[in-house]
Amino acid sequence: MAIVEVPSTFVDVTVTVRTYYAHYFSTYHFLNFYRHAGIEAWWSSSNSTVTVSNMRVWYDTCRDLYKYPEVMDQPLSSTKVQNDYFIRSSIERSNPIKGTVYIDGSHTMPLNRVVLLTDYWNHGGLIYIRLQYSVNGKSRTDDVSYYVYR
Amino acid sequence: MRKIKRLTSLCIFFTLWIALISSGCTPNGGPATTVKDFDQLLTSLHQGGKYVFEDLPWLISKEEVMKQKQLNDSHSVREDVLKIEGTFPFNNSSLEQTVLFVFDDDKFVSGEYLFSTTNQDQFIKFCEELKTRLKKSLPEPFGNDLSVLNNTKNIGAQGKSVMWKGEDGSYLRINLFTTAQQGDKMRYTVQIKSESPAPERKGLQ
Repeated sequence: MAIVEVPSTFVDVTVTVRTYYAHYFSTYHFLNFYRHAGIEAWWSSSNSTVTVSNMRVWYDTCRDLYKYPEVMDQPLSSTKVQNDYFIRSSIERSNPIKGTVYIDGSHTMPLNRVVLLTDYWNHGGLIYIRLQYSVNGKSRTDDVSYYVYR
Repeated sequence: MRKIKRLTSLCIFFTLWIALISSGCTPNGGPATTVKDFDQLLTSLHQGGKYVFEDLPWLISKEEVMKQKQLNDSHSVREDVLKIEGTFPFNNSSLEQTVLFVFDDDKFVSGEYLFSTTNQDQFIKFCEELKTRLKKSLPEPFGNDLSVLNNTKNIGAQGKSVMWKGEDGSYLRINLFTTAQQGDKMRYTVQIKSESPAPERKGLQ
């Protein structure tokens, strides 16, 4: 299992997201395949005035679904299961506690499935974070996104 | 006598042909090169806080990449991929090297170097050297850290990864994984993948 941990810093507060997935490279096709697994997220701050009223973390994976391991060394046409497959892991918490790890491990792809990303602009494994919080008495909403794979 | 001359000519022709192919040249004379050392590798990936690939501008057409890299149709794996194969000299030996240029809608969107070997010790040493070079050349990673390149004895088929994000939204990822076809020896691979910038998104749905 591949794990990527990314800290995203807003004003005096950091949200760290740990993403779980599998990555396979087919030397038959010269293509990358991915399997979406799950996410963990928590927030931290060294500023004691920071309070978080809402934390949203989405992990989206989108594109064509294939049979694994068959797709690794068989034609794509005979191993495709579905077009435009979409899966989202989601953490949506009101008043999350500082340092507490929140998890969505229930939206996982089966072990016999992988996705192939074919549209560079619209497919991938995307993390989106939106944080509603207060720092030094001022309310803010900030967001950020990044690709774990593409 | 004529037979011997003809055989000699054929031998010379094939020797030259093999030398041409193994030196990384294409049959029509263009140099389809792969990187030959770590310095060359790293400068081909990172320039001014942005991640690039082989000194090529992102989003140029496949034809333009073929022209600039002097490739021909034999390098085209599919409509959306160009491939160069070669070797990467390392520690008095070499790793197999594959270079991929990937296109979407005829736009150059990402590039990959794949360094592979069946020799686990060589793979471990390659990762250690890569780590040392990356530490000197690149900023702090965006996701995970360079410790991914330590203790590479235990990587599996599902991979390990470290990633960087450029000022312009480009990405660089280093993935480690193993592959084994049925009956084949285990292959250890370092994949270095550079990706063109893409707009920020709030989800993929």
